[in-house]
Amino acid sequence: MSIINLIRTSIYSLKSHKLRVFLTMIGIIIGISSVITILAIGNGLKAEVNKSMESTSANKINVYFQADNMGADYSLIEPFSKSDILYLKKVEGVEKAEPTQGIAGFNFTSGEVQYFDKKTFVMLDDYSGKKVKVKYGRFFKEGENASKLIVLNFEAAKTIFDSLENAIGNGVTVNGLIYEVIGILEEAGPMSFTGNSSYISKNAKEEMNADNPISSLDVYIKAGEDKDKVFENIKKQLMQDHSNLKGEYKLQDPQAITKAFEKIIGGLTAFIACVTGISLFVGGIGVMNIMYVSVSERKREIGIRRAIGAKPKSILIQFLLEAIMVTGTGGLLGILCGFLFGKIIGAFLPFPPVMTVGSVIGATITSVGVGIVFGIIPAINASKMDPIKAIYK
Amino acid sequence: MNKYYKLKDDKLHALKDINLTIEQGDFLMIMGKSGSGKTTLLNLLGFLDGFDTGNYIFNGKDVTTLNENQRSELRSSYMGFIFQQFHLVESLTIGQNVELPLLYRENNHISKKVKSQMVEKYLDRVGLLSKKKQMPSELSGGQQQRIAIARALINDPYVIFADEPTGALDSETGVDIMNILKGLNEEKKTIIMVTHDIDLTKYATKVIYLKDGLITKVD
Repeated sequence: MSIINLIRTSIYSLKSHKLRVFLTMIGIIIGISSVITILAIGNGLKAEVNKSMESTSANKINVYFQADNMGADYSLIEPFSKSDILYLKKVEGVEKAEPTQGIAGFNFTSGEVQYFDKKTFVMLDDYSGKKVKVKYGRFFKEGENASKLIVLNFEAAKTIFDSLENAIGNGVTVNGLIYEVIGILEEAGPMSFTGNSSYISKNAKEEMNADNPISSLDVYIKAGEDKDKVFENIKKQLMQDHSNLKGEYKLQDPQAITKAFEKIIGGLTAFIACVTGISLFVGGIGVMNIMYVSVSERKREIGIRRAIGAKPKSILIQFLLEAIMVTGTGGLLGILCGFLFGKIIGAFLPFPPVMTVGSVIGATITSVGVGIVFGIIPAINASKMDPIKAIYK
Repeated sequence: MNKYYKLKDDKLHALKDINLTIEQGDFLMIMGKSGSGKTTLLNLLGFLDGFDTGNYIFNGKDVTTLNENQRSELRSSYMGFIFQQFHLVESLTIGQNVELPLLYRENNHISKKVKSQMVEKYLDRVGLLSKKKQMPSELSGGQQQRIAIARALINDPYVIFADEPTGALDSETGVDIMNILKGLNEEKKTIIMVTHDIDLTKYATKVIYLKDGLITKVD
């Protein structure tokens, strides 16, 4: 019997039990749609982290010092000096080096922003190279370094101004100095790395940090150079200049942090998806159950089919196909539902869920697989039925 | 041939030394009371059941030791079955029921159109072409049995096995069915039929009487 005829036969049989088929399918629909939704949210989160990290240059590494004596006061031992910046520029592969104050390559500067009696704390960052969305006013133009201008993040602006539209052009006090507000960012979610800082020029920031010791160096590597190799040279240079220090210069790669983040999110997503996958197992048992019922209900039909020439193999494939059609259709509907759930949940999340082709293909294969795994035993039972006993049951 | 049924600690000798030759074009009736082994014999001849000792030569070939697939192929190519309770597949339409044996045929590359024409030809043959799209439950017993005959005929079999085909029908409808079978026999189709109705033997060319698994008489 050709496979097309078998498929047709299976469709005829399923059509005659529409409600039962649909109820069985629900288990699969729930299983697949939850897995799809979880994966979409996980992928969305990963994409968001990636996007946030895009603003950090791919060629930038952060060099920091780890003293042998864990309790060492870095402002006393001064592992970096201004002259290092000049020397490091001459190291092969280095484009430029910049001092940073902060930890782990994220050089946060904080400040208190005040407007009349209202004040709030903000994270301050240098505007250059940042991709942010401005809601009111404008962002910095390239080279706008000299003037005392500030672009406030949405939360801070909301706290100190009554009307955001009218905030543009006003003066605010930041750490005792007056800055003119030129823009306000769009509201950002808690996961955004760039949307929750206020921006000032590089000069203004350096000025603010002039008295702080340099805690690490941002080193920009020339394109095409091997980061690790260049770092070895930097390390050599720094050790030479600070030979009296007991400790080690280390490398912090922001890209590596992004990758670590992604790995953690990926792992978590996979774990939750697996837990959700248990509902698929339950759905599979439902399919198996209904296939058993179907086989015992249709004993006579199986006997008749055998009598008019169906081989055991044809019966096996017919029942297996029925199971696969139930789970496969359930899987497709589950993908559709998962997509819709993702959209709905996405409306409440600070980032959009991302449905990948991989998860769609995976869900399709899984649902067909569930049909095969849970349909095979009832199908084998059907094919092994003695035609005589089946007809004269 | 001999056939035994296993019982709890014993075995039942269901068919005893059956020795039988059926010629092409025969209308053979197997008569006997219930429990005499007539349906068992019919099922053996139709490869639906196996036997324990003996040989079965079908169409010039020894078919004593065939596996399930080979038996299925032989049933599909050479045999048609008619049952007392009609046994149509309830979930399929009349047309689909009649088409069913075509779907199981080995190496069939019959186009959809030709299949449909064949179904119509045999439905017309039993006078029920108009019922093609209906479901079996919408038909009377006599009509269902005629559909079963159409289904048995569609693969153009050598031999038709009929297990009390009139047993569930009133006598008038039964005569209709017997007339169809007689007509088929006149076209040289071999018909092997089980019955316990002595009145039907007039249609047969050969009658064997079974009692407790033994052939007691051949007419």
